[in-house]
Amino acid sequence: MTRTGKGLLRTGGLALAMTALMAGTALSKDAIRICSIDDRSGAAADTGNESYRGLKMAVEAANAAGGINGHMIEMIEYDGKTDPQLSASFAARCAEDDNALLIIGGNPAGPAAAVMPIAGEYDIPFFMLSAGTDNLTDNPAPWLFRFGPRNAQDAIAYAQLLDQQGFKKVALIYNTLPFGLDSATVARKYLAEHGISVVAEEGYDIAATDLSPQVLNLKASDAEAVLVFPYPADGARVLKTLDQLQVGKPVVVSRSALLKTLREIAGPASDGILIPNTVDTGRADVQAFFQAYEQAYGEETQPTLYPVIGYDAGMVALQVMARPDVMAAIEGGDIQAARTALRDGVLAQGTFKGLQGKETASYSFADDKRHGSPDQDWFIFTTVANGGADLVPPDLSKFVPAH
Amino acid sequence: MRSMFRNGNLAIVLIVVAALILPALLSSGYQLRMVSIIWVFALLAMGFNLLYGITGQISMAQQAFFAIGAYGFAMLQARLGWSPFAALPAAVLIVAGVAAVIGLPLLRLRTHYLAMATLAFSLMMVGLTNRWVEFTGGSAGIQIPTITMGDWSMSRAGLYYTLVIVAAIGLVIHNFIISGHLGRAMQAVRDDETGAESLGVNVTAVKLRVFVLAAVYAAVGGIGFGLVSRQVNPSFGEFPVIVSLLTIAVVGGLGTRFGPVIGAIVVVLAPQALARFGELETLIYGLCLGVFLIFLPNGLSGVMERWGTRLFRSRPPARQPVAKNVVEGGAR
Repeated sequence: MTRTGKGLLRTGGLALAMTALMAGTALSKDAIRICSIDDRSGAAADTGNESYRGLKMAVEAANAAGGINGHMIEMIEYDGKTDPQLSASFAARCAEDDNALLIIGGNPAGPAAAVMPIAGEYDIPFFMLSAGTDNLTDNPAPWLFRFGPRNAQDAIAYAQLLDQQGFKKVALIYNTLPFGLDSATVARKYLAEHGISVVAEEGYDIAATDLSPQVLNLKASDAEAVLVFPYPADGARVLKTLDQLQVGKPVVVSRSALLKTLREIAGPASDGILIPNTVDTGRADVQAFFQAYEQAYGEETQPTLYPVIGYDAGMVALQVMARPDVMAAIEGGDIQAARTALRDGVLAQGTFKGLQGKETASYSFADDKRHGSPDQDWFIFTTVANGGADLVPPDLSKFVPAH
Repeated sequence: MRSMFRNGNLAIVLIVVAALILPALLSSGYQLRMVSIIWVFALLAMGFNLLYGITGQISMAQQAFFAIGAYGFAMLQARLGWSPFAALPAAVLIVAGVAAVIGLPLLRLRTHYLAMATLAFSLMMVGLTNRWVEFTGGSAGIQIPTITMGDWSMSRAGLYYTLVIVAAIGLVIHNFIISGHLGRAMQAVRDDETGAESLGVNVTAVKLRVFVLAAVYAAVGGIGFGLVSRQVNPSFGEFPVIVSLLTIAVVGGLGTRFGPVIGAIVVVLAPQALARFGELETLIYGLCLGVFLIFLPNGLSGVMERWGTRLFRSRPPARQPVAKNVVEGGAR
């Protein structure tokens, strides 16, 4: 293992190891069960798989360090297949049959929305991952904590960037799934706040194979840049069509372009696009995490927010689990009291340092604020290079309106 | 006895008795949720069976009616403050009205044209539920409260028994229609519309009635699903629901009396049972479906009905009216 990899294990597992050692624990204690319901197949499989792997790394590090107060962590895994009702059924299974302490998952909005009422009904904490739809955390949901940014936060970030770079007119193109529609809605709002007009707008079905009509409309407009809100495969088709029809405008794509699938399919057509990311590759702990990730899964990966969200959610759960009131409930065999103590522990601690965001930023949760990401210092823009293979820091001096 | 079996009445009684006993054998609310969902999907599939299996009208709008029923039920309570007891029949009536309005023009189409037109309607509904965020709640949907009356509120078990009763009524109506005059007319329409018309069947009226009836089945199922899920969201009207419906038809048997129930049992429980296979789950599920399509074209219900017929063939069959035999031959 490299020095940075070891560093990560030290940073991530040290507190947990200390807790375990100080308690003078025995490994024979009952395992603490946590449930992962992620979308590891279906339209959002990339996000689900990466988040799941990140979460697994956090759990394995804790177990390698002796568990939490001698309790090993048992991860029960379900593939929600991007199917909301299947995810909801698995959530009920986690709460009732598996006696899990909490549920971690929810990358697309649909499955996340379906799990929320089940979490409320069974009084089990639900750590939601990258589902970005804004109103998921608008309604009172006492058991919900969101770790990924809201779509509005992405919109704030790129509206600020476009404004700063001198853009005044943009075009939007998005798929008509909840993610695309919601992203477009918040984009209109925050672009308008920065005095940027949407001069052309196109929605398309995720299964559409030919996007030429939509892209030609964007090309015919006087937009200075194009904003794309896709899922991976359809996003690649949009980028290829933009390239083939020589639209020639700067392109900003939502966080889904961070996924390998989109970049692999789009290939060179994805080079030069700007993507909002919440992973600051300048941070040593982030670098260490991705080195450890590559070693653990034996494949090269690019620094994206998805594995980091899973890891951060897992680390927060592990930290709060070690609190005396949660541990007392677990050791007393009262799973419902443990769930309540875990939820209350997240709110009591409030602020958590994770791998998302800039060095200075932290997650913060409160009773009336269930999305942990702050609006500022969270996003770092990245760009694609080398035929879609790499994510690298962008040269923003070239990201300006063509005159 | 044979007649009772062939008409399905004995089987319905046995299914209902088993369904009523079942909660005593279950150990958790999760299991109760799963068996509740079986009845929801059975109701949805009964309507589809009448529409496609018996009448031959391939509609891809069933999931839209499923969603409209659930949204109607939720929104009448959340937006207008109606009680669930008023919202439930009102939501069903809304769905029936919508089905009648779109059914009149759409049912002029046949085969894949009808499928495409009804699919377009479904896509419009999904777009509406996702895009009209202020009205429908967007992808987060709308919460559906537990049914309460005074100090009493409906428990999970209460909801399950209600669903069993509603589904049993649905199954009786389903089988009654198949065995009656309307059933014969529906099969005649399926087999040859021109021939049916020449025999005096009002084809347009039959198709419209069945389309509305299937929509009502879907609406009741949708309301049940909303109550089980405690919310409604756009996924109620999305593609996975119609995929589940078609899978129920394949596994249970299209045009059979009990295919909707048997198919729903398999389709709801199989993903849960296969979850232990991890990444192989989808592959195993797909292979099983392939086996059903190749070796059991009439589904599990077809096999069971054949066994049932053989079982009671010990005595020579009582003489049946010609029309009766036509019906039973048609109800594959």
